[in-house]
Amino acid sequence: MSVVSNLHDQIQQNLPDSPNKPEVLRPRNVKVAVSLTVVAFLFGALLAVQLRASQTLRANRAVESQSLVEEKQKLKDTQSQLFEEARNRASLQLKLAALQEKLKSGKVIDTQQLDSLNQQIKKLQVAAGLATVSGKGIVIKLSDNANAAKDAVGAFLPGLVHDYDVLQVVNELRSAKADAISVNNTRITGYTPIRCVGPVIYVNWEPAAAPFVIEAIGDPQVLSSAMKMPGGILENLENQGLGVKTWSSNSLTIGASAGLPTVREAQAKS
Amino acid sequence: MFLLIILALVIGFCMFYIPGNGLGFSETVTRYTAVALVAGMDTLIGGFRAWLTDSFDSAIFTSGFVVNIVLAIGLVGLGEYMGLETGFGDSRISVMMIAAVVVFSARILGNLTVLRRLMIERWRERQQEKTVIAANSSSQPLE
Repeated sequence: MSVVSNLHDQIQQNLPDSPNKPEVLRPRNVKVAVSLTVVAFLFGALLAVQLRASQTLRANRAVESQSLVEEKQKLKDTQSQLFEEARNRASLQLKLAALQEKLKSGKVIDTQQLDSLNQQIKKLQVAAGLATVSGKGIVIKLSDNANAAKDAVGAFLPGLVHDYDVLQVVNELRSAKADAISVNNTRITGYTPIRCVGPVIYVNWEPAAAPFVIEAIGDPQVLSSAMKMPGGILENLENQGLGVKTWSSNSLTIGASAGLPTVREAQAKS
Repeated sequence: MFLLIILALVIGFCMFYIPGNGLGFSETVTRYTAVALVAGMDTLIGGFRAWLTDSFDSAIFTSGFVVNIVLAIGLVGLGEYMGLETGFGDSRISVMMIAAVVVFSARILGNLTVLRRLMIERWRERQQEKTVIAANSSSQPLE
């Protein structure tokens, strides 16, 4: 507007006698002044509104870009994390491949470990009765009383060797820490039952008849003294009229049990 | 009158610009005010041209200013209302706004061209007159 009025003033001053100047152009015209003022006011207001609005717009954009930057940073962090994880995974895979290679070439267990494992297995076999063992020990022979039938009192025949007699002897030997026990060449293990069936005794489901030869590997002195204890099992059996013979041997050989028992329900707890 | 116009401009500006005047302008206002500003500028330059061609009319000028602005805003608003928009998401823009800005810009540029020609012609006339007067004044003492 200032340019307009300036120029107009200049024109007015410089062209005082312009012949084609109409009356409407008079600068002191009140109507023109009012209209220009109103328009100027409106224009100023418009400018102000525009400036303010664009300022808020810019501020909002700054906030938005700030949040964008933060999001970007977060993304970058996640990406680097992912990279690291990928690297970790790669190294782990390398390790895995190396181990697999090792496994293929059979070098996982060295010979020393293998030896110790084998020794352990042997020990377990001996303890479980799965291996033939030999060593010092004692032999107990239980035989029926020859006069049993004569001394019979009803159905009870004193002087006969019963399953519980054998069981008691075996139990006594175990309590004296015998390493291996056999009855009539049948190895006694943790799974071996001894029970009476008719005229014979079943040891591990094998029929056995008198005389019963019970062999036990262990310290012969400890075993025999445990068995011959006064008032002990052997004395008791002798008193019943059974034939009991005990001797120690320097080289007893006790065979392995027939095989592993069938385990049906028990499961090893890892 | 010159001072009055400047004063009106400053007062109008300050009334709406001073922060904390309770008038909060949201982002959506900017597109309308921008179009209104372009329309107002078009009217101002048109008025200047009319002044120079000695056909200035205050009623036409004032009504043109207001009505142009209102029409421009109305057109943009109508375009937005009818979904005449282009772009995606937050960067969506009314097609009508583009139309208004293009038309007003063309008019402003055309008017500016005419204004420039008019001003140069006036300036030449003045120079010519000056030389004529100078020639007259220099020749007079000789006579």
